[in-house]
Amino acid sequence: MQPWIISTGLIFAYLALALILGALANRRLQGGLEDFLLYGRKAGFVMLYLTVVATYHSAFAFLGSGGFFYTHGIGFWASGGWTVLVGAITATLGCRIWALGKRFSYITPADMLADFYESEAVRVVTALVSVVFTLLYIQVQAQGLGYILSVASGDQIPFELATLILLVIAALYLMAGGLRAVYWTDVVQGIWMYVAVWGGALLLSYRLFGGPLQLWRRVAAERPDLLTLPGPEGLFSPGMWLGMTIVLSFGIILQPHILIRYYTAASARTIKLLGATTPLFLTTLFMPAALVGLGGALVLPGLELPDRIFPELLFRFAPAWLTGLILAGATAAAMSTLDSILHANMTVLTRDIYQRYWRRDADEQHYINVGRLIVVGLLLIGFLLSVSSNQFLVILTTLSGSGALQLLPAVLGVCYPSRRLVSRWGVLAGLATGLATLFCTLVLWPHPWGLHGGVWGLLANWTTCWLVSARTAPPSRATVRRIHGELESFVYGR
Amino acid sequence: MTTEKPPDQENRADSAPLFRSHYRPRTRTGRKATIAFVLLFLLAQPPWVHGPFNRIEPWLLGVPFLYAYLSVLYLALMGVLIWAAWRNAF
Repeated sequence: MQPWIISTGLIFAYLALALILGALANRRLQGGLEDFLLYGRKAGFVMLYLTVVATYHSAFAFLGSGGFFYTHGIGFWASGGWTVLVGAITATLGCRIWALGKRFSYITPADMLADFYESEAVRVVTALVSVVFTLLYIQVQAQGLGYILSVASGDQIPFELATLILLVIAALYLMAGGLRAVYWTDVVQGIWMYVAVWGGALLLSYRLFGGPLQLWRRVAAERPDLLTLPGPEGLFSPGMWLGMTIVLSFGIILQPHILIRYYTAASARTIKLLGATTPLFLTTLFMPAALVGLGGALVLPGLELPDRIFPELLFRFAPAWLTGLILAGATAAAMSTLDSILHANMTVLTRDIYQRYWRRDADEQHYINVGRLIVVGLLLIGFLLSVSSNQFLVILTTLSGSGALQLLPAVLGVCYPSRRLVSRWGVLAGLATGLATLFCTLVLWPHPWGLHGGVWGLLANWTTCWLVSARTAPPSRATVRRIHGELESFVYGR
Repeated sequence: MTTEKPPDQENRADSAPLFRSHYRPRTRTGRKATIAFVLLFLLAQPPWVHGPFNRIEPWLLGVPFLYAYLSVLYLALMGVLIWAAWRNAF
């Protein structure tokens, strides 16, 4: 049997498993929006852990990170820093978001911001920023999925068809089972992707170099430029290192598919434990990626699409059955994030826009059905984006994170009581300034003076937010007492 | 009879803040965890990683120095988080 049939067959077997889980989740649906959208706020530690890590790590981690180590060298180990920071943010900020969500029945990020800032304009802008920038993240996953299946099939399945097949499958099980389906598949995907990336990297390092330590020595001898900063193409300057750390920690956390997960935890203790322990998974997943990328730079130099380095190495040097299993893990990585993004955007568009402004008083089944239609629309957009360009997966993810990062001043204003209150006008002005700056510093004049454009946007946003908040009315004392009072009570027991 | 204040006056502080800042930890454990985390994290950022620790040699545990240095810091940071969770510092 031809190798590509074996490896592709195994990927399709994994996809069948995902569909079965989706169907089973559909049978367990208890009805109601809160069950479909938030798993009834009952996610225990193990499930929440695996869904958060599986959602955070995507095609970016499995493919993009290898591609970045391949091209830019050891600088990508900055990823260890931002993944540890994600744990700290989850344990601190995430816990507060959970507490407010539970107390005031928030379902979307915009629910929380609109409530505190007493503003529907804040709701709409938050929803739009959340959705627009995560469309880029959909593109990352769609592109990654296309790479995986097209390489696994030896290009028998063209990139465009491969992307479409995998997008449709993710959409199907999501539409069937809602967040329950997403969580159940994430449990499988989280374990599979971790085992697959470590297994694949170790196999390749032993087969090609005699082991990881020998791999490091060969890289030092043949490509020492990959082992120091700023890397062969000078990307990892101090400003970029710092910028990517901020954008890919706070920026990813503030995207709706991660933020909504905080609402679903069964308890505060679950979230705290989550924050403390998720770096064990998130950070260590980049270690084998380093082996793949750096080793790949020696074995397959000059690859036109560096993001394909992992599947290309597997296809050439690993047995077909193992390639299939590992690439199924890569598929799992991308789909675990994709289904979460589709779900989150579906939730935001259904709750914050459709239900609020179009049809307020329909029954819950109506909104669930509307959500399903929205998923189809998002799927089409994701497909069109993925076939129209093939930018580095890491670059797309950073763009996506840069946009979501602009919500940080508003979110901190809600979750961290302080002497100076942020006002709704401060939030809106800050967002407008931040997004305009982002356009200038990512598109017109990328990364001025070597500092990542996302950080420039945040600086402009924060400065504007503070200045405008100082001159405009804060939220009413009743709202501040209610929401900040809840946090004071939750954190300090007063 | 009450008089409504213009928005810019509402924001000044006869509206004294209702709550103390949550940015500063109020417990000893919280302060220790925050300081430890921030210090270790800063050591993993520029200028340290681009300056004195930006090197291949000496090799540590069979891996290049910069990679080993960062790996040790990341493990230490995880340790701080776990310790803070165990001591209920969040």
